[in-house]
Amino acid sequence: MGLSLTAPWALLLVTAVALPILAHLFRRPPTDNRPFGSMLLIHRLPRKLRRNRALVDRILLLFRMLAMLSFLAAIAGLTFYRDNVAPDHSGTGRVIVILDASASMSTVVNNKTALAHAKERAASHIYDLPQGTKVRVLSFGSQATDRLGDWTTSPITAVSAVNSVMPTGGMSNLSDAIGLARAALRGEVGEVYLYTDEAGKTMVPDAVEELGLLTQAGSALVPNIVTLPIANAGVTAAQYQPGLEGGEVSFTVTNFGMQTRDLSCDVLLPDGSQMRVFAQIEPYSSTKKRVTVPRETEGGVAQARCLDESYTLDDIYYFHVPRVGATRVLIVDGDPGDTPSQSEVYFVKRALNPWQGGRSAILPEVVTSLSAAELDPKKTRAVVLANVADPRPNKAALIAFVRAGGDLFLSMGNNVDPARYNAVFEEISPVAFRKRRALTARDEPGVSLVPPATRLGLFEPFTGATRLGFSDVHANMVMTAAPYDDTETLETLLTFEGGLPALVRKKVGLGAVTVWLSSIDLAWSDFAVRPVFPPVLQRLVTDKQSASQVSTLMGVVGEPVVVPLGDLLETPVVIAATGGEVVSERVGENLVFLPQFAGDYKIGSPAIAHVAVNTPTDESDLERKHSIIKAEAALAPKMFTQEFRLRNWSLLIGTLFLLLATVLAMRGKEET
Amino acid sequence: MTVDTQLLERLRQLKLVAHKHAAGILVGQQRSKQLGSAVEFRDYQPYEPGMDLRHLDWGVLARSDRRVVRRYQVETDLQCTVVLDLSADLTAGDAVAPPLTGSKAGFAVSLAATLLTLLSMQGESIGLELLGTKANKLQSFSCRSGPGHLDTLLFALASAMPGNRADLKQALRRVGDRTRRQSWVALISDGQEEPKSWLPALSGFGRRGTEVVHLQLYDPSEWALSTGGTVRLYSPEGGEQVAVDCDAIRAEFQEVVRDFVTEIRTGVRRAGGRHILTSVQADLVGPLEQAINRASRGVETPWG
Repeated sequence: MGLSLTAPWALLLVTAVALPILAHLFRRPPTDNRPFGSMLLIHRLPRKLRRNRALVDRILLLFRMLAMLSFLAAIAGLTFYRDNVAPDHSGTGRVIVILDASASMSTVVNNKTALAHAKERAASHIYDLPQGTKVRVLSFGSQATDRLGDWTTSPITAVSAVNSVMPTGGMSNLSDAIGLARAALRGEVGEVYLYTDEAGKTMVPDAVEELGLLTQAGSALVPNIVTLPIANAGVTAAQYQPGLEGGEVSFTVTNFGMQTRDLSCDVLLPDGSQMRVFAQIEPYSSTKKRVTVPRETEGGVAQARCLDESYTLDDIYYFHVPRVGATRVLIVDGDPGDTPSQSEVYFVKRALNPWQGGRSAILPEVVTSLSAAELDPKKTRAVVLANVADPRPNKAALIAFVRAGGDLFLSMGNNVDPARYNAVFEEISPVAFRKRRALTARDEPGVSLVPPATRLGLFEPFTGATRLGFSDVHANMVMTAAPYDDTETLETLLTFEGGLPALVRKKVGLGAVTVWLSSIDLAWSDFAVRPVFPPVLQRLVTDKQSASQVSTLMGVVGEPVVVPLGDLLETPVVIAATGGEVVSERVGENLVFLPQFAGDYKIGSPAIAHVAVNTPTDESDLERKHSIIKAEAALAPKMFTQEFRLRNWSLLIGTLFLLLATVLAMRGKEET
Repeated sequence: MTVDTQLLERLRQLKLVAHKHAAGILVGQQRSKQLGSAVEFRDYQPYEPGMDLRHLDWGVLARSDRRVVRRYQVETDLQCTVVLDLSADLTAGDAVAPPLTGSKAGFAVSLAATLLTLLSMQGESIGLELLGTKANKLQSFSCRSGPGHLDTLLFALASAMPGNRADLKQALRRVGDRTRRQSWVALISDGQEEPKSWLPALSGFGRRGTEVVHLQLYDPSEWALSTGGTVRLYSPEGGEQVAVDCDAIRAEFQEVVRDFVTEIRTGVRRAGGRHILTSVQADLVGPLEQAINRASRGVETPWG
C-alpha cells in the first residue's frame, strides 16, 4: 500500500505551498509593542474577541495550505496503490478450484474442519459463477488429484467433486496442484482459486517455480484463506532406547501456539500396557518426555499420544518398540533320564539359565508335551525338542510356529526315529535324516568338532582360545543326513572332523530350524559338558542373526513406503492397517504402497514388516509462514498491484478547502 | 553634594504652573476661607426623615409650614491630603522623562502641585501621599501648613518618578488611618486597578465625614485606541502582552471604558465621595475648580 505520482516534476510546485504561509506571515500582527496604561480595560474585553483572529488566521492558513497541497497532488497525478492484491480475472470462462486437503486442513475451526469450511466456500463460489463457466476441481495433499478429470459446466457436478474431497493427512504439495492446473489450462488464461490454510513450512517456497510459470501464462492463483487457530500441540517424535528395566521411550511434544499447554500424554505399548505422563510446554517450544518400559513387553508398533482438541492428526506418534524381556524357551524332554547327567533337559536348562534366577535373559521352561497356545512366537521364542520320540502330534503347530518367527532346535538321541522325523519335519528340516552311525567305540575319545571358519553371526563372540574350545567337543555317535548343499537359507554351522555335519540351520518363513546331529546328553557326545555349549545354545535362541526378523520401517502419510519382500516374492502379501484397506503395488522385489493415514501397517501374514506411519510434522505448525499472494507479487508485481488515481479527488478536495478558506476569510472581515 | 539641575528646573516650572493656576482660580472665587471663620449659615435644605431635628428651622416651619433644615459652612483649618498615584501605568503615552510632559504622570504631578499650592494659599494644612513611585511604593508627607511645607511637597513632587505598582487599597487604608475627621482627601489616579479591590476602602472616609474627591485621569487618545492597526500592548507595570487589532476592538473597548468609568463613579459616590473624570489633554483649571469649589462649599452636585 502506498502513494505514487505520475508527474513527479510537479513536485517543483511544492514551493507554491509557501504562498499561503507568506501571505499569512504578511498578515501577521506587527511586532510593534506599545506601553498601554489601560491594560485593565483591555483584559476586560471578551477574550474571544482578542483571540479569535489568531485562531481564525491559523485555520485559514491550514485550509489554504491544504487547498494548495490538494491542487499540487492533482497536478502531480497522485495515485494510491495497494500491492499484494489478487487481480480480478473473472470473465475468462474457465475456473479451476483447488482445495487444500493436507493434514492441517483437518484442524477444527468453529466445530468444523478447515476443509469443511473450504468446501463450503468453494461450493458457494461455484454456484455464483455465470452459467456456462467451465469448472475443474483439484485437490492436494502430498500429491494433487484431478477430481473430475475434465472441465464441467455443471455446477452440481463440480460441487459434488468438491464435496468428495477428503482430508489426506499428508503434506501440502501445492506445487503439484499448480502443475496440474497449468496442464488443465494449457497455457491459456484462467481463474485459479485456491482454498487453503496456508499452513505448512514449505508449501509456498516449494511452489514458487510453478507459481512463476502460472503467472507467466497470465493466470494468477487467488487464495481464499481459512484462518486456523494457532493453538496446536502435537507429538513430533518418539523412539525407544535400551536402558534400565526394559529401556525407555522418549517422545517430543511441541507447542506451536502462543499459550502454555498442559497436556496429559500416554505411551501405549504393543501389548496394550499404558503409561501416563504430564507435559507442560511453553509457547513455541518443545519438551522431551521419557517413560520407562516394563521389564518384559512385546515388540511391535507403539504409540505416544497427547490429545488436544484443535488439530488431532498429530496427537499420536507411532514408533517401533522391540521385544523386551526374557526369551522364553520351551524344552520338550523326550528322554527323562535316571540321573541328571542322563537327561538332555538338565544340560539345556543350565546352559540357557546358568544361575537359575528369575531375572535371566532366557527363561527355559520344561514341558513333556506341547500345546498349540504355547506355540506362539510372541510368547515363546524357541522350542527345543530334545530326543523326542514322536513329534507327530505337534507337526502342524511346530511348522506354523517356525514360519511365524519361532526357532526350533532339534537334538538327536536314541529316541529319534529318522523316518518319523523326516515325515514330520520334511518341510522345514535343514536335512533329511538317514540313520544313527557310530563314529568310534564308546570308550574311545570320539571325533572332535572342527572350529568354525567364520567369525560372524553365531560365532562372533568366540575368539582365540574359546574358538579352539570347539575342538574339545567329541562325539561317538551321530545321526547322518542325506547329502545337501548350503544355500542362502540353509547353512552348516559346525562339522565334525571328517566332514560330517554337526550343526545345521535353515531359515523357514520368519523363523529357523537348527539341528544338532548328535545328542545333548552324554550318551552320544560330550558337547553338553564343554564350555562352548552354553554360549552356543544361548546365541542360537537369542541371536537376531539366527532367525528371520520382522522388518521395522517408518513412513509418512502421503509418502510412498517401500517394503522389501524377501522370501514372500512369490506369495500374495496383504497389508493390514487399522485405518482401512490399503492398495499396494509390487515394484521389483519390493512392495510399494501409499499410506493415507497414520498408524501401524502390518505387511504380510505372518508379518514380514511393520510400518509405523505418522502425519507429517511440517503440517503441525498451523502458523502461516509464507503468503502465496506475496510470493506471486514478487514474481509478477504489476499483476498484483491495484491502483487508484486520485487526480479528480484531489481537485475536489482542493476546491473544498479553497471554498472553506474563502468563507472563513469573508467571515473574518465581517467580524473586523 | 550634587545639585540636580534638571530637578531644580522642574521644580521651578512646577511652582510657576501651580502658582499661575492657583492665582487664576483664587481671582474668580467669590469667597475664600480668609473672609470669615467659625460656623456660618449657608442655605436651607428640605427636611427628609432621618435628618437631625436640631437643624430643623422652627421659625420657617411656624411661618410657612415647611420643614427645612439649616446648613452651615464650617470654616475651620481643614486638613487636605492629596493622594497621588504615580504608578508605572501613568507613564504610558508620549512621555518624555523626566518632565513627563504629555503623559498622565506629568499631568498628575502638575495637578497635584497646583492643588497643593492652591490649598496652601487658602491657608489649609496640606499633606501628600505618593503611591507607586520608583523610589518608594508609598511616600507620605503629613498635613502641615505654611510655605515651607509647600516647598517640601513640591520638591517631593518634582523629584518623584513613576515606575512601580500602586496598591490603591492599601494606600487608601493607610491614609484613612492618618487623616482626621472632617478632612479633605483628593485622590489623583487613573484608577487602573480592579475597582472592586480598592473602592471599598473609600467607604471608611465617608463614615468619618472626610470628603473624598477622586480625580480620575485618562488619556483620550489611549481610550480612543487612536494608534489604530494591530499592535501588541503591554502594561509598563508588567504582565502579559496582548496583540489587538485596535480597529476591530474599538467599539467593544469603548463599551468597556464606559462600564469602567460608571463602576468607579458609582463606587465613589456610594462611599460619599465625588468623582471627576479628568482628561490629561485638557486644562488643569476645570478639574481644579470642580474639586476646590465643592470642597469649600461641601455641596454634592452631580458631575458631568
